Amino acid sequence: MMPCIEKAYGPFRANIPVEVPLCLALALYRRGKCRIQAPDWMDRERLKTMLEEERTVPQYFQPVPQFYVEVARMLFTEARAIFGSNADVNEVQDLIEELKKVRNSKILDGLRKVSGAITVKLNNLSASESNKIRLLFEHSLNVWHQLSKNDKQWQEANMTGSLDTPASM
Amino acid sequence: MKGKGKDTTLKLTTGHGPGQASLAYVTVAGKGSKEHYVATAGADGKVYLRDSLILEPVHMAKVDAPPATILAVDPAGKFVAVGDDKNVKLYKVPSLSLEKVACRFALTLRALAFSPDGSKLAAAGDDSVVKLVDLKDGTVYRTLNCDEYVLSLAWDPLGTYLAASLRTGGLVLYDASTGKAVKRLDMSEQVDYSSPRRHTPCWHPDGGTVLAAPTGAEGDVVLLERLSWAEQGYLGGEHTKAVNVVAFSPNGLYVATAGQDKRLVVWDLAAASSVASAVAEEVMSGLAWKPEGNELAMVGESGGVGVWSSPVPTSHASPTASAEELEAAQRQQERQADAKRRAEKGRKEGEAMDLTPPEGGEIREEIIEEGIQDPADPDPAAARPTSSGAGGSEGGDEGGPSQRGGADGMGEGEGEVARGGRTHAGRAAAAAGRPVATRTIVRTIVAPPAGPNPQPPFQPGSTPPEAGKARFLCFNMIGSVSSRPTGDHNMIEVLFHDTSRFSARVPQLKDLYGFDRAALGDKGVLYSSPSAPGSEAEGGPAPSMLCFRPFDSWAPHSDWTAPLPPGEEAMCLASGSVFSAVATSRLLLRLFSLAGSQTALLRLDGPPLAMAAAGPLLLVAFHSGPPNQHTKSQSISVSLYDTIQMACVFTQPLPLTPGASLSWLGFTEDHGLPAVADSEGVIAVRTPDWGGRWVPVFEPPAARRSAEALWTVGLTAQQLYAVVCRAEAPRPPVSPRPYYTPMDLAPPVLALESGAAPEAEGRALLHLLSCGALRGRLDAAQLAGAVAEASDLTHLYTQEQYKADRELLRVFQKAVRGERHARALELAAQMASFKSLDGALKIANHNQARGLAERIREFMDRRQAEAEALPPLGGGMEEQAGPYEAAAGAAAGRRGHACTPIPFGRGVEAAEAREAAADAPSAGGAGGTQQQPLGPADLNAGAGGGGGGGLTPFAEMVTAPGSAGPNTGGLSTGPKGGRGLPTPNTLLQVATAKPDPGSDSHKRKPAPALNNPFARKAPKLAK
Repeated sequence: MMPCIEKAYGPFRANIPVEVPLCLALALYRRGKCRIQAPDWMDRERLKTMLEEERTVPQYFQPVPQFYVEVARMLFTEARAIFGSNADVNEVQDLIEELKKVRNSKILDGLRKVSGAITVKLNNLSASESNKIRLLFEHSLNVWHQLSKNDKQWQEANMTGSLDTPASM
Repeated sequence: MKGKGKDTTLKLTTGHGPGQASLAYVTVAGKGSKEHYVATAGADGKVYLRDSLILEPVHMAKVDAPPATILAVDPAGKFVAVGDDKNVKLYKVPSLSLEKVACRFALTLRALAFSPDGSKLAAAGDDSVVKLVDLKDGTVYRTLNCDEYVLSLAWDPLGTYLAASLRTGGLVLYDASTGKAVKRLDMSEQVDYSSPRRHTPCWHPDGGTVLAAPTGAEGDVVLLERLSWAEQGYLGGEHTKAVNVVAFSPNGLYVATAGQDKRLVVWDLAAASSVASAVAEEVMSGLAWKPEGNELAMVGESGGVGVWSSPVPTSHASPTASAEELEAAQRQQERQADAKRRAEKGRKEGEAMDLTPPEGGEIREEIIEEGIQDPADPDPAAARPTSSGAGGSEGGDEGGPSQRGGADGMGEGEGEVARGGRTHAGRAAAAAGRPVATRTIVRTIVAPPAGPNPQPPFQPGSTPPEAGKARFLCFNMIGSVSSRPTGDHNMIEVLFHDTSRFSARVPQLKDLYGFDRAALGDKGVLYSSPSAPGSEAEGGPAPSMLCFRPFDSWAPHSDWTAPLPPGEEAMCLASGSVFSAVATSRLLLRLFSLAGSQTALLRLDGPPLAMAAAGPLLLVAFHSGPPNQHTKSQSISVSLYDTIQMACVFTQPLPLTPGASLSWLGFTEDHGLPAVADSEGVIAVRTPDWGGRWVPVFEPPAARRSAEALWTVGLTAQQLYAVVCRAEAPRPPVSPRPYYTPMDLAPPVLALESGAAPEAEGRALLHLLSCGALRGRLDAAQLAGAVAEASDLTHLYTQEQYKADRELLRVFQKAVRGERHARALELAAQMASFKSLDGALKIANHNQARGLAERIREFMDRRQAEAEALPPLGGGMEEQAGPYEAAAGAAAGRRGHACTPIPFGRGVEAAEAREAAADAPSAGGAGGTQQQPLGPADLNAGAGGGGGGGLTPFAEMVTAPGSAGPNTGGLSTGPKGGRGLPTPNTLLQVATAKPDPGSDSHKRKPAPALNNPFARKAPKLAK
């Protein structure tokens, strides 16, 4: 057992898979103490179907792990060998890159449609993706909000002004 | 081959002038019948349509520019295309009136071929091109360039390919749709410009799957596979000179070839052997099979025309019969052969004076009665029961004719059963002069169910070889041995699951012997290779080799290699911690020490099937007999040898799931109990109790059985380690390296009505099984006087008892709550420790089961009294007067060391329980309200309601699943608030908590709390 702050991991026994945090897995892997099993969603077939779905359904996003970009990057830089031969790694990597691109273009498409202070529901957005658009999105929504508030004020002012003017006069 | 059969001599009648000639059969559909003609064309420029029987010309045409070298008939039989010196002309059939000129050439034409649909014609000759003509509009739609004179053409029956043989000896295959040459092959020698040679190839009529083409000057015919154009076979050995013409029979069963040696040979394609041959006076220039019947027409280079009637001997299938006819004929033949065989067999049996059933089979007798039968007269013959082997019990005077009759009947018999018939008048009836009743007894021999073959020997944890792929020779809990083919040898790699196990990595082994078995032990690997037939360059057959490679050895040259004597094969290997063993095909068990000295040579009781080793133990599974034909089960026995004691511990039959075969053999990792897995996935462990029986401890869940296969690697007393494979590929691949998944063992116990979940009872059974194993070892250790080992084992044993008690308590609780008090009492009687009994008592009290509590208390008292009376570790086998004598007595007998030898008072117990409760916070139970308990807990009665009692933080935090108190939500009277006395649930937790090592029942100190520093800290933590 390996007690950590969050919880204890293990027991570690030879050739029996244990679920551990990625950092621990990579640390052990670097020391040649373990083999890493790629997560389920990085399976080639699963990625292919996911990509296909992602492409064909433009309305919403496919559920992906929250940190899929980061996990993929870590594994591809640190532990390429776990995917098999070089061709296999490249294929999986290409699929993930493709997935990222498709999702990114979807996000940009969605952003283009934002034309007012609205509530946007973005499900299944991964951490890095939401981070990517957060600043822009938040600010633009704020601006929209400001504008609409101003618009309302202005209209109210107009209304009251048009009513008030004669009375005050 | 040559001169095997006598060559038929063929007489040809002169039909044409000397030079290339050609012929084909033309079928003209007449009124209700078909008429066959032979169309011939020859060097004299004449084209004849001849009667197919007497070859008399019926119609004649003359070409403008002789010679008419080639002729082809449209598949529909409407046109004959004739090629002469310049033109390809189409003549109408049967009048042979000129239809049109299909195309023109500058030089002599040599070859013509119609496309299979008859719409196109390929023509070629000395012009070095192949012209493809569309016959509808008469245009040359494509010209294929081939740079050489074309000798002949053949269009594939599917119309895709066009084969052209060239003067240079080459064979070119064109894709007819694109005009590209797909393949060029070099077949024969080059011939002269003016040579009359043809080198005609021929496609198999069945979709052109095979192209037969003459090759070489020795008269061979090569069979080329379609698409790959690889050589599939040769027809050779008959012709002495090059083959000129090849022709498939209409159904493709035979090939007729004619060569420069003036011989004609008919080949059976399937057997690639000749069935008939003939000689003629001239070299054949054209051959054609008659579309119906068994005739082969030919035309020679000197102009002779002839017909070989019945070239295929009558003993063979007809060359023109369709597939259905052939099949029917074959069936007929088989039936006949079968009937003959049966008749023969029947006769033999008849001679043996008995209708003996084959082994496992039986004779059924049927009595058919005819005539008038007086029902009041029970005839002895009729009353004879229908029974097996009745034929043998027949009286002597009657037996003879009966059997003979039976044999005759069988001679005529056809089909599934042989029958013996017998007609006789009932003796009694005849004697009494009553109306005669005729009865026929029909005996039917029923063949035995075909039994399975004995399972071949295997190594546990090996995967079957696949060509070119790496495989596991051995995969077990230690590591793996994999063999990867590279070139002419294999590379063998040994990997350990625990890489820190040995300091040095085991180097890869370059395997030149072809090791196909390996046993990975904890000291080394034993390999064996099969013997090879002696075509080796080194000379002589290679014997079966044995090779042992230790992992770390203090001395150099610790590995050893030994050849087995010729005729002896290594079948099974095992490698333990002090020995290596090999079982051979001579039914010898050879034992070696690790360094290679031969320690024993034993005869096996049967052909070895598999072996496994653990420590000094060797488990051998062998066939004790042929598989049972009725149950389809293998007859397997196992022997366990102790190599240190030089003893055979037991030999007993190994029952498997009916119909299954053995798939894995080994030992449990922790207790060293023999274990097996069968092909149904059921794991069985041999318990030392019950005189050593096999307990099924795991069955693959039915829901997942179809989707996945478990490939057993090893098991412990509680868990199975298996590689989960897909059902399509039930063996793990070497790469990626498989990992194993632990799975809880679950004996198939029943789920009783209002009882505990079967899992809990199953677990209890498993723990009891471990207890049994440990007790056996403990007894052995005590007997041997190994004090240290005994104390270790005692410790383990107590721990195991605690675990068993924990499960029993769970079951007990369920039983009490399900109001099954009698069962609960039995469960309590099985518990080993007083602590657990106390827990059981509290649970009973809590659930207001007064009668039960009373009985448990009485039982405890008695057991305690008994324990006090006994010296420590005294066996405790005395009869116990429990509340349930039988149950208690059985329990005590079964668990000889169950009673803690040192008495302890209840106060001590309670105090200890309190400490232990604090000790095991994570298991802390949610309390229940206390109700008038008996015994020590009645001091605790005041805490009922629990509102006043302080809450133990732990109790608040955690509720142990499965053992949670009856009212989990209720307030807890923790040990602190409850005046230092435990509630039933804390006590249950005490029993379920992991025992404190060294402080428990075996050598219990009066104040165990002192042993546990954590226990003293617990109250602090609570604050």
